[in-house]
Amino acid sequence: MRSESIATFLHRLQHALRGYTFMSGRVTDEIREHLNDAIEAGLRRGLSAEAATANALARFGDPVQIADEFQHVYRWEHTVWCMARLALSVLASIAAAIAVQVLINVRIALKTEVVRIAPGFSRATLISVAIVVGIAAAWEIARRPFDTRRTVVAILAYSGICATVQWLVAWGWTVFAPATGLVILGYLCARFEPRPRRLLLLFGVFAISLYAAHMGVRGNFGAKEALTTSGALLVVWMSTVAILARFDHAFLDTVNS
Amino acid sequence: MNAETLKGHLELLLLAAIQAGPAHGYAIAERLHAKSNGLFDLPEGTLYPALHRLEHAALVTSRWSQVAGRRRRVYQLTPKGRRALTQHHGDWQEFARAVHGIVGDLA
Repeated sequence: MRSESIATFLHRLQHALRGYTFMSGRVTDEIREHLNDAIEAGLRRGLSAEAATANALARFGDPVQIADEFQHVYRWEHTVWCMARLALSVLASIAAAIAVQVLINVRIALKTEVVRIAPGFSRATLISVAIVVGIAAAWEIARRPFDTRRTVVAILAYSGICATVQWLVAWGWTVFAPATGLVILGYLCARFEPRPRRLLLLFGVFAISLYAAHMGVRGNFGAKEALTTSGALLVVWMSTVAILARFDHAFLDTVNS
Repeated sequence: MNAETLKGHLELLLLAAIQAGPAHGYAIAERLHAKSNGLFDLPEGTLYPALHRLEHAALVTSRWSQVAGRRRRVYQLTPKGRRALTQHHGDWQEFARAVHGIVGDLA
């Protein structure tokens, strides 16, 4: 009864403090010891184990409200923590995108040098990188539960990256503008069910958007290239989302351990 | 006493309770309860965010320590915390005198 009640109480507290893993361990340990002290004091006063436990928990207060106060104390650390997670997600996504891009290019290069995945390898890679950065930002914005601070941080981080790239290369907008559009379209399409239809629709939207985007930049980008590139983007999209989901699970596992 | 009333003075109360000597959260709650003859009975859980806030402000420090065979987080006043306590104490005495000057005659 005693350990079960404390475990339930601490679980509620940890759940309310998810996303604050940098401090929730210490808080949980402190509060566990406090509750054990309070229960032992109740037992010494002659209460039964059940009554002592119930009394200790009642005196301690609502875990959700306590977690809310802790969140207020650690709001700046939480913002930094969110930014670090975003940066980690972006780095992982970029690594995945580059790996996929390299694999696809190597595979195509082995078959024939005539078929190219995009007009220029460097620009195609940058577009893919921009897309995964966009996906990482969109993930942080859209995933439940919605969090205003996380959304603001994600938008600022994405805007900052766009501005930095634009500052470094004059044609940066030709990379990030279609990438942002593709991420928005991909996000909208990804909401459709069931999965095969959703992926097919996403693939189609990628192909049409890429074809249209390249037609605006340079003419020699045919339907075949658009379909091949869209297939690659679909893989990039799925791997990025899978990586981001795993990161989140890892963080949640830390909370629940 | 109403918990909301108490919360406004929680920082002063915690600093004063810790001044008596380094203590873990439960011992601090016990000190508050005993020194107020049971009048200060706010939810014990609210002490911890307040203690962490004091630590953030460098008014107290904390460390894990073995107390009676158990691992506890023990809080201790810093020099800055002592100065803040003196300041808060002065402010409180001034406030209490002013309040007493107004409502003291009612009795």
